[in-house]
Amino acid sequence: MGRLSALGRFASSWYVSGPMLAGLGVVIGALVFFYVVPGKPKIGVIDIPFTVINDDSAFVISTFLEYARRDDSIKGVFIRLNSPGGGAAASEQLYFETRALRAEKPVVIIMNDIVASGGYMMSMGASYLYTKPSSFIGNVGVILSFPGPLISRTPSEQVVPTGPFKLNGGGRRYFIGITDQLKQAFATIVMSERGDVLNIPRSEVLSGRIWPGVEGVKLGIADEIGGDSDAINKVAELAGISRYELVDVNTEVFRNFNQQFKRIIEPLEQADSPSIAGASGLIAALRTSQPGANPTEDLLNPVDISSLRRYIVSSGVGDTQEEVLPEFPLKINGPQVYYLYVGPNQ
Amino acid sequence: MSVLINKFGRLGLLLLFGIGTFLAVYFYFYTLGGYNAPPPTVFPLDQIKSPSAAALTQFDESPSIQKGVLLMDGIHGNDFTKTEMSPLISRVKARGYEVEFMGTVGRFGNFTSLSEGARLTMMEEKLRRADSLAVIVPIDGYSAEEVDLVERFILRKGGKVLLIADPTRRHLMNNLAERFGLAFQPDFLYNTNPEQYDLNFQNILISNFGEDEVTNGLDQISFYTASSIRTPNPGIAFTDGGIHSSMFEQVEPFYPMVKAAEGKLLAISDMTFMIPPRNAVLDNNKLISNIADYLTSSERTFELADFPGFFRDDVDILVGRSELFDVGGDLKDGLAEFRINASVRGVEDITTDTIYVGLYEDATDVAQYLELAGLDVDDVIRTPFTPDIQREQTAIIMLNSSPDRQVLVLLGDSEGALRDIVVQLSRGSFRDGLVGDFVGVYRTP
Repeated sequence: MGRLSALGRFASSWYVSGPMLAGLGVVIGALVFFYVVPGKPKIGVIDIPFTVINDDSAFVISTFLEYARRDDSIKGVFIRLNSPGGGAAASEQLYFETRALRAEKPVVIIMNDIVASGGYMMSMGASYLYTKPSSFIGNVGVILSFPGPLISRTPSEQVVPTGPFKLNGGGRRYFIGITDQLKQAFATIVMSERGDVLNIPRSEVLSGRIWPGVEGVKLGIADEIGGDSDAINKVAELAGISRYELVDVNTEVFRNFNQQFKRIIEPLEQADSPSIAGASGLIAALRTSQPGANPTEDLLNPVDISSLRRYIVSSGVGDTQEEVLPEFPLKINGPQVYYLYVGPNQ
Repeated sequence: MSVLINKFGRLGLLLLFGIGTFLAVYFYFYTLGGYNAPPPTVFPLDQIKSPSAAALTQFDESPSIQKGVLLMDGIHGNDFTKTEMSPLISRVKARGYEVEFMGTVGRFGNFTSLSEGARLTMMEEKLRRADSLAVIVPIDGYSAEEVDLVERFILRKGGKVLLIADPTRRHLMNNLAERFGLAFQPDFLYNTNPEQYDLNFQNILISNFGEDEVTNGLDQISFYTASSIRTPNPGIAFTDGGIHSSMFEQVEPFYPMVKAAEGKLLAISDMTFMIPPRNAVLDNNKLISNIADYLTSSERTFELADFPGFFRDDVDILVGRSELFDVGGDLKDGLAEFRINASVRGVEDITTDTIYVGLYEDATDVAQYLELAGLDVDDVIRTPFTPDIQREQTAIIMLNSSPDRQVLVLLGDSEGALRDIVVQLSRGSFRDGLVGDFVGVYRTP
């Protein structure tokens, strides 16, 4: 008893309790920083190599952007972008997703070889745009394409539409007018996002020109000439961080995807149930859908996301109308709208 | 330390080091100030305006009627369909002209190509009858011989020619156009001012016109992707105020509608303005009618070589004597093969195209026509183009051509000689015996 009270007195003496409390404070302070708030900062890196934006590629890129937005340790995002654009709605999707990310974290895009049309629309959602001197950027505009000449369908005994434009949607002049409206919408996005830094009038933006980066910066199409390091430093500056780790968002997303996939598949494979055949079929379908893929590779091997989507939403998905709507008597022949740079004739 | 502990207590010491550590680590990783997210951008829907569309207009007309033939080129793989050209064709037909297409139409409405030799033969034959020629988007280029034919058709025979190319369709029009000093440029014209185009920047509005029958009464027209035409003289429609060329960033004006060859050739660098519903925009319908007026006002002159193209209506056949009725009958049958109705009559009607068939002894019946051609049929045949010709076993053909009437005179030294030249007329071999533009002299068996 006497020994214990002596130990208590010793522990409560200043030369013992002081350092202990200080050390405990250091530990608690560090724990709070690293595990509660704000944590060790990271900069997410999203790599978009030459990509024509379509429904599938937009889905994948949106997943990258969403991951970067939801991961609290990522304080800013750096995107390497190389795209001539693509489908209109898909490009708009990427603009909206980039803008949503920017609302929470700084997003700096470095424009590589070409960031044109729909690619440029996506970059309108960023906080800051770097370009290389020789990058080609801009090309604001819309391309409306019809699979064939826009000829009104002749009335039919088999098909009963409910309005004069139910089948076509409108005449040729109507669709040309729509194209002009979409062009205005694109220009409005550019002017809303960069109107205060642009040195050219709206009409020049709408001309559809593509500029080299060196000229684009002068005109305000991009903010600065630079490389990856400059762009990453800019992310850090905007995010207010001085030391950070880089996180490869592409890899993280695919790792997560495959882990989730593995969690779904493994129980099915191990269970003694009729669903085994379905699981094996799913795996085989996904693996063999990738060019050069080996169906026997392990589950962590990335699978083709579009194949998975197609597998899950099997109804109504197909390559041909005969596959999807075999009994519909009219050929589906709708207009396609693109924000795409196609370049001169070969 | 004991002072600190006493002053702040144990909890204070813990907080001091905890906060201190937190701040130290924080400032190791972070700087002062953080990310200031920009305010969310609002998509300003109200800034998206409805596209500016040019007005559709109603157009009526009461054209005057005249006889003639408009020949449409369809032997150079021409990239248009009859349906596309129906607004122009219907106007030309409404003016009394016949519209004849050269070439055959493929399954999808487009014209097929012919070999160069076949083209030349067909053009020679068809142009004999034509008053005007329309060449629209030829995919195959004109050969030098074909260009010569067209040039002769315009400059010697007074025919009118319409050239239409379009930058949206591949063509080799310049093979022909260059002979007349014109070149369809490989560009397109555009206007980026939304107030000054019809729905799309390529659909330019033109309201500047030179004084000309083709631009008469036009206030404003719309072209749907036109190229510029290089011309040594100002065009009859020209641009100003904001219209640019996709290739030649030069100062305006650009010319999408041009005349050449002393006004007998009209070149237009847009075809699609005729295609419904674009023909109904602004004064486009009026322009189409003016073009139809232009094509149907040809001052075509004919030569003997153009037989039987110069006959537009039914023809009277006059025979100099009753023994020649059979020859007249042969001639009637021959004309029927060219789809020309003929009647053998005994009295001349000076309002009707006429073929006179007689022996040299009957020459006095047609002396007025012979005199006009400088022919004298006496013991010998005297022409301005040849030495005197003995009458035996000969025949002559002579054409007296005026805008109102064509008179063809066939004289021979015998019925047999006349039968022979009737056959030659049917076969076309009579052209080998031409000694002038209006006279042919023939040895007969």
